[in-house]
Amino acid sequence: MQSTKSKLLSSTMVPLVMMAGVAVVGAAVASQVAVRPAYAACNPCAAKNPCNPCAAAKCNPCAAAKCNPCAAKCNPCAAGTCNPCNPCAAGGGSASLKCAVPRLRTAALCNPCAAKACNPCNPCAAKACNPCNPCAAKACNPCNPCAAKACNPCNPCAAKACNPCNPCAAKACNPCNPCAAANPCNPCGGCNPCAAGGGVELTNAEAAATYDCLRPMMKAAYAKSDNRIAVSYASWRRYSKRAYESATHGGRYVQNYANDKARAYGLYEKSGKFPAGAQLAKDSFSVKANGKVSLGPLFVMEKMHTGFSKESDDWRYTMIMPNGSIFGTTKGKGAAKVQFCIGCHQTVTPEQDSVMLLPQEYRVGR
Amino acid sequence: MAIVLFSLWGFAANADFADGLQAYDGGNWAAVLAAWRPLAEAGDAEAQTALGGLYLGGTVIAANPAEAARWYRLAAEQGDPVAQLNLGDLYIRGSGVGRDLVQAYLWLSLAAAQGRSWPERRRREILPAMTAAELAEAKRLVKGWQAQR
Repeated sequence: MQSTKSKLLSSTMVPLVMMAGVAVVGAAVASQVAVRPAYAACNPCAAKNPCNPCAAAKCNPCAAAKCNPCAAKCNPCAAGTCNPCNPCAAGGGSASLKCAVPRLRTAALCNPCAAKACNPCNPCAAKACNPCNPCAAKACNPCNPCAAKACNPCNPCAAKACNPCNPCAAKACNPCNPCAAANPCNPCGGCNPCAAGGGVELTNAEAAATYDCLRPMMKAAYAKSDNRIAVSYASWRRYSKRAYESATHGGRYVQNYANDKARAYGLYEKSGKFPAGAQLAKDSFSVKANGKVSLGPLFVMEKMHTGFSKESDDWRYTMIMPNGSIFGTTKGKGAAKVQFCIGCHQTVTPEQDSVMLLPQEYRVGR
Repeated sequence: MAIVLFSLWGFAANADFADGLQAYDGGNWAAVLAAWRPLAEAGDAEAQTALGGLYLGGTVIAANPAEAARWYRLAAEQGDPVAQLNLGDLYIRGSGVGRDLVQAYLWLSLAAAQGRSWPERRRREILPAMTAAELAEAKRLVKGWQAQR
């Protein structure tokens, strides 16, 4: 077990350190780029700014296409459903835009750095041939806010710092300045979803709303497995007040359910040994920094008869993927693949019968 | 000797997949891909199905239904029932592939024939939307596919 932990630790830490390095360099580069007028002019966050290329329908490079599934508001990714950059393109899977976290989604869409430079949806991708870049066009393009003369009040490139339309007017307090510290679009800011990775923290209300939105999708997804618990767990009693972040399941948001035979689960530290037939289920979802959410696995524990498996305290572990795959189950097909579940759950005190307890603040009363 | 070597290879392949599953549980996305992609590319149907799921999820890799359909198809053609039912579902939704109820019926039928009830239910749902000609074509494809096996 120790060797497995060490292995995981090493394979986790190396990429993390590398990512941190990339993030630091990326932030530094972004902060340099952000003061360039053309870059700033592409900032779709300047909400009420008349210089905002998304403000006027006529000049909005995204408004026109009827086939744009995201035509509302300022979608810089007007392409068809086959465009992998199109946030509306995905469907039929375990990802959900409908349930995306609005606060994070808004921040991400407003972030002029949201996409990599090579992303054709990135209005700030500097290439002149990028049709999404309203500044890329020729000077005669009426949609190009940079095309006009410096005296054009809408020209964000009119260089004077005192020009209220100039989002590059350098003062930090300028709300048009994408580098202004409190601006969620600030590529250097902590709110920047393109900054370093890491867990995404939801408010209680956001976690609850996201979970409620995803529930029908979870039910449909896990049912693909034909597993009887996957089909029935949603009708069991729920022991968590709302979805909460689970460090032991990769930072996913989870909820805890238990069937009637496992009702002692509500006693938490005093639950004692569970009887055969007790079943616990934990559904899950992930949140990305850009607010997009997707389903995670359904984690299932079933208490089997005495002697089923000494090392697992007679629990049978099953991990049901959101596409219906069950890659392994304790003492069953692919048992080796879920062996790590036993190893992890063995770390709790013997009185807890291999059951991990949810944090105090999320527990419901019995 | 050959049997021993084959067994060792099988063990290593399983260990790799298990590593990927553990990494997936732990949210270590880079390790998930490092474990599963080579297996999928080497033709492992289980890894292909897993990768298909990742391309629909959008957490580990950017969502790409077309790529999901591609991996599901590779596994489905090898007989993986989860890949078959998911590919059939994508054909119904027109996600990653063009909407095609004949193909949907084919893949759902192949999964249902392996004892799965979800694809059986899903197949019943699309029947009212299919023409008689489409249904006949779909049944012919199913028969042809099963005859090949």
